[in-house]
Amino acid sequence: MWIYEKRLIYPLGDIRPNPRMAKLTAMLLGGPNGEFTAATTYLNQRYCMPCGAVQAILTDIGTEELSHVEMLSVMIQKMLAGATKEELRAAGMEGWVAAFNCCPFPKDQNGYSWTADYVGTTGDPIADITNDMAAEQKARAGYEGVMKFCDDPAIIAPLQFLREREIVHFQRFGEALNILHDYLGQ
Amino acid sequence: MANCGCNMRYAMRTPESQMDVCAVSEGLCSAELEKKRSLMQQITECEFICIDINLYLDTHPNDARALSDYNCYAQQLRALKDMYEKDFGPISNFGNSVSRDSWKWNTQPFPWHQKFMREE
Repeated sequence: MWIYEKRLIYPLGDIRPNPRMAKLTAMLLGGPNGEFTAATTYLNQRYCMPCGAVQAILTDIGTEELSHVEMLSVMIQKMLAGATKEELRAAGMEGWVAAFNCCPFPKDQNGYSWTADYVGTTGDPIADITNDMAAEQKARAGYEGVMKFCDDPAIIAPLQFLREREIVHFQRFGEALNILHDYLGQ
Repeated sequence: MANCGCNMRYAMRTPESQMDVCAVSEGLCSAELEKKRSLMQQITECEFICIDINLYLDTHPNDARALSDYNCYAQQLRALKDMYEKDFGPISNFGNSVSRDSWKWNTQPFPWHQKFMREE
């Protein structure tokens, strides 16, 4: 069961049309290490976890990731909306707008569609949580890579927030791995 | 944000959120708009603190100080949401908010605003 809240986890400032950054932000949403993959993976992995603590951390981080999906989706919509045809062509985003208007869509920066093959579930608790630790680090690196190409503070601030969350989640998954080792060792 | 009396070790810096474009059509005066913006900012900050302590407690369930802080901020969050919803409509669906006088879930703005491609 989920309940929706009509607000973003982190408020967005005035995000201007910027199809070039929309293209890079697509990677953070629908790329292999994007938020869409994270949310789907963590929520999916819960069903084979043997102990409540790890079921809880997957539920809670997976739910937070859904709020990150929403944040990036709103950012992409704002960065595409109001852009001129010329700006869209220059950024290579005319195909996107032709297909989806200003809607976000789970595709990466090169237009490759998100695939379930990105979901890191094995059903083995140790393998899954180890995957999640790596996933958080790869996502952090992705945020840093995208921020290198951004000079708009209104876009950098939410990306910095999301990057910091990857670090916190990595920490929590590391602790979850220790909990799992203790549990399985008993 | 206001301290509810517990150990204030948490903080979230939030930018000034963009004013809801629908705010004008809601007929709110500038004082009401400021109250709405301020309450939403406090809710955002308070709930972020709750999220972060929640994740921490998932892996540190025996940390009594964190548990006490969590309960303190959870109470504060409920109070802030009650204040917001009383004046500005429901934040949550499915019975988690009441909708006074009329059905306001579908009339209050969602956190994105439609704009479309500019025609040259």
